[in-house]
Amino acid sequence: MNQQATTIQAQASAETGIWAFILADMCIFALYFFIFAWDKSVHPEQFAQGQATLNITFGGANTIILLISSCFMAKAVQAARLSDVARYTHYIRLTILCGCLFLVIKAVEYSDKLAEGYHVASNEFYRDYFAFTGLHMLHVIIGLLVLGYALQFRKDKQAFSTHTLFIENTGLYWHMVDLLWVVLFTFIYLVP
Amino acid sequence: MSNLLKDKATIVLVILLALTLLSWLMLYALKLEPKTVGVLLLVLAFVKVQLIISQYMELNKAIFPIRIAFWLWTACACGISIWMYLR
Amino acid sequence: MTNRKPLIIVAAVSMVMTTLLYVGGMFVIAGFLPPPPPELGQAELAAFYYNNHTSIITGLTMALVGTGFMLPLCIIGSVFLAESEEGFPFFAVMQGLCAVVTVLFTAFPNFIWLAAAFRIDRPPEMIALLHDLGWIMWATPSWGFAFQLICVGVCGLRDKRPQPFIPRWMSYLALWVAIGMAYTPLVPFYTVSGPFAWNGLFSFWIAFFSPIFWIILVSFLAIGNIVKNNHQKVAA
Repeated sequence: MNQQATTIQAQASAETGIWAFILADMCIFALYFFIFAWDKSVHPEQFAQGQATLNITFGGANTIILLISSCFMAKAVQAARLSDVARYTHYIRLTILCGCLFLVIKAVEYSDKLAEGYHVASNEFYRDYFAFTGLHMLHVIIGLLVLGYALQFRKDKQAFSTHTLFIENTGLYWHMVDLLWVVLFTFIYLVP
Repeated sequence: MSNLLKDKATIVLVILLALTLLSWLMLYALKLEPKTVGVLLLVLAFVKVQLIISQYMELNKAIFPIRIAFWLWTACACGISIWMYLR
Repeated sequence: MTNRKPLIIVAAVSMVMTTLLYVGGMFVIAGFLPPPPPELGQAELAAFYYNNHTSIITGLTMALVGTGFMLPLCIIGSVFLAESEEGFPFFAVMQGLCAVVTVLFTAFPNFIWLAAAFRIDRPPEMIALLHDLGWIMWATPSWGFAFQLICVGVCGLRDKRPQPFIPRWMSYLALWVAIGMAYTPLVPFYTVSGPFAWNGLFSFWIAFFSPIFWIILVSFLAIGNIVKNNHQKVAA
């Protein structure tokens, strides 16, 4: 009976509410993409100059870090479904580590730009750059806080399976953070 | 079978990293019009997005309206972004 | 459980009064909402205040009274939160205190704009300064309402009773609206129109209307619950 219950839990999807939350957030970010594309078409030289000042290596590294963190998160969720607390803990820690690395690189990038004299109101390019990547960074920070909370479930070995839904929801959120950065990176750093 | 399932996450990661590398190479190696490269990069980005949504987020487990909504999002976000980029 | 009937009556009256007075006052009579562009020149601004002196004062004062009615509505929300919490109702108290902050920061700018409009012969530079002060105070602080929504969202998600006070998707929506108010600290950076200026897509249109949309939804849900409970009582 318990095994059946576990199997059902293992196959259960995250709840509809979190999907709705994620979709709503993705719609807001879609607005960011559109605004960026619009501003880019209105100020092409300014955006080309601005893009040239960005460090593609930092941006690319952040993309790779977040993609890897998504893989770790997926593995953490898989482990949680099987109530494998040790594996779950291992992968959640790795996900958090990746998130922290992302923040460190972002901090270095921002401080470089600020040192060069660019800030959120310098021109339309830097307004979009700082605001959109900054709001994304806020999502990463929120994600890390939630992951930190989820890490505590490792102490609750007896009732670990009761936390599976929360972990699934957290996984979805983290993947959203990753996919939004994929588009932001492409638009802001790469697209000529 | 369970081994394969465990490795699905890794396989998807390898594909995503390969597509990222491809984007990088496209930017420097392809001798095309900048706008064409831009469109290709955006399409590639949204292919990666759809991969993350379908494989990592396991969209197929969500209820039907949610699946439609996410497909719509990808299509509209990609389409409108490219349209605005090209105008 | 607290007796619902008086709460519902107070909530309904507050909702109607807030909407009529604040929306009527700010949008219709004073013409202050939607916000004017930040780049409006001093001469144009002064002309706006001189030419609409009476309607500005009427509308802003009406809106001020309207903000007072927001408080009973928010405190009733705290009653529901407190019922779902065990031990000290931390989130209920937090929500209530944040409601006071929200109401104050919605009301204070009106005093400032009233001062700008008070004397017809005020020099344009002073009017412009008071105008800017009012708008920065109106548009920038959003953490009051954001924290209210976070309290509601967290309480809602933790509510494991068979009849939670709001459905789970409303809690998620509350958290989404709360994040959607994160742009407003960018307002003071922009003296020209743009998505983050005080009249911008994100800082005004989304940050102002998404909470209103959420409040309307929660009101419909509350009314639906009451009607359903009444039918069940009648059936029993």
